[in-house]
Amino acid sequence: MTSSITQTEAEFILEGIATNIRIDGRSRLDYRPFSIETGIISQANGSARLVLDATDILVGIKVEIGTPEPSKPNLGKVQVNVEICPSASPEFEGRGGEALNIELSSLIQKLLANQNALDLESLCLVPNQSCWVVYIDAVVLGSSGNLFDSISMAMRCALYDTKIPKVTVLQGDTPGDFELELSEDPEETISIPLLHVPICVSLSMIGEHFIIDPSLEEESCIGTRLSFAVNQAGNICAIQKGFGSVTPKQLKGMLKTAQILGRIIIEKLDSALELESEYQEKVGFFS
Amino acid sequence: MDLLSPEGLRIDGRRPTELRNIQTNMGLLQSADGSAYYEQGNTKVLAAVYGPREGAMRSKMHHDKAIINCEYSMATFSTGERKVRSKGDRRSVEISLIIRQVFESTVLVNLFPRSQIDIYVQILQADGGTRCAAINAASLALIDAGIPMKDFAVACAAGCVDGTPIVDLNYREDSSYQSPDMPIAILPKSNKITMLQMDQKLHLDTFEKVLQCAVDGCHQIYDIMVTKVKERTEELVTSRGVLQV
Repeated sequence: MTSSITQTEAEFILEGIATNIRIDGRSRLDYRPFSIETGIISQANGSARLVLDATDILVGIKVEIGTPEPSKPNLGKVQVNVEICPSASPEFEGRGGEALNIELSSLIQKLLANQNALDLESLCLVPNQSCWVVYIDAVVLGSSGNLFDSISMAMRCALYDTKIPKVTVLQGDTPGDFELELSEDPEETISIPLLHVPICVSLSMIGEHFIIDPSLEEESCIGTRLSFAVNQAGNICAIQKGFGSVTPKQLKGMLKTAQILGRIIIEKLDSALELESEYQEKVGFFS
Repeated sequence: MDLLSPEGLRIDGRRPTELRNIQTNMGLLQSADGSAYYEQGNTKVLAAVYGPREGAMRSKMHHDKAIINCEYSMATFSTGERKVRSKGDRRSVEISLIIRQVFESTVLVNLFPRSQIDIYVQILQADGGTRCAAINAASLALIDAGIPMKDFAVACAAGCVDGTPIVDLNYREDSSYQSPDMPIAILPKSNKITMLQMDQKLHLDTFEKVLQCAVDGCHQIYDIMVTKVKERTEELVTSRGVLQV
């Protein structure tokens, strides 16, 4: 998503950030208010929608039974796919958004690649034979900057909402032959533990300072962007650097900030999710 | 599994001429010129409209009218089984073409020469009647974008089980061999048919009944859509202080 701005606007943004005042009045480390909602796609095992200004992300999670990787026979699988809808901007029509889709998908996949992030061992049903495959699909319906972080947050909410049917492994007729029995009861489900699931915190350098949650105009002025995957304990699980360069001293400062911010965001997200699960009515796309 | 029970109830408990529950919402996407969300039972569709704007490809532009460009796509999690669809797959291209043809004859394209109107439809959840829901959502999105049209384009599907016409088929019903699937789209004020498709066999005598059933379904949906548009207009004019309530 690109927003073209003039030289004067770029300078205005630059100077504003140097004095800790951004164009919408926020300070450098302020997030825009956003809303989340879970459970809106009833056909999926888990779903969530995140709306942040014009950014609108819908994540649907479906689980299917598949075979484990030969090199990792005891682990389940997770596959992340991000698709930007042309409703976000006509430039994403047809194959227009392919490069960005792949970039986003591979970044988010990397965040969860660590086998401690999602307890993949618990997703294995019969070693070497069958395991749960968790397909996480994100659809970006609108964008106003900060896609990496928003998608990872929406994914965390969708994982919170995911219910995997309970499966009992029964011994088949011959030894080594297993049968899987899926529970008929829709209430008998297991949830995915979120303890180690990280979210993405992207810090963007504009001039000499870094900001969080850039808007579309600010994204056109970015010198460097670093995305950190931070989990609940404040550990950094993955780092990805985009274009541009950064000094080691600046990197240290960014690491510290990312850790602090990551913990705060996860705390707020989790408490909002708990509160939301107490509501009975789903508002969905009607608010 | 019989589509119609001896008591005259369908598999989801509806009567033959009963529509599924419809909910709509307009103006939800900030970046699009017009947008609408349309829900019919478990089928959930989001439509976004951009335009009229300068055409992306000069060679495709018409000197005396706007061209309508449509893209229909289904989210991977929309169906019961997760299915990865490539952008150019046949069914999506076919439905995109159908939606484009419906709106080429409905939108007043002669008012915008050398321009382009883009309609993007995303299916979030599919449970039968997706092409009809897509047309209804696109109508509302075009109205939300303020693009002038001759009339609403309203679509509905009908079928028939043992000679009894049924309206608004869900996935189980339209994929079953027991009933043909006939989606149609009409312009309600003049009752003109802008889209008509049918699959499977249907006796000519029953055809009229099924067509009438579908047209009645369309009129019911039209009433719901008009109420929604009027509500939204009232909201907009009161919020701008034009109308004092």
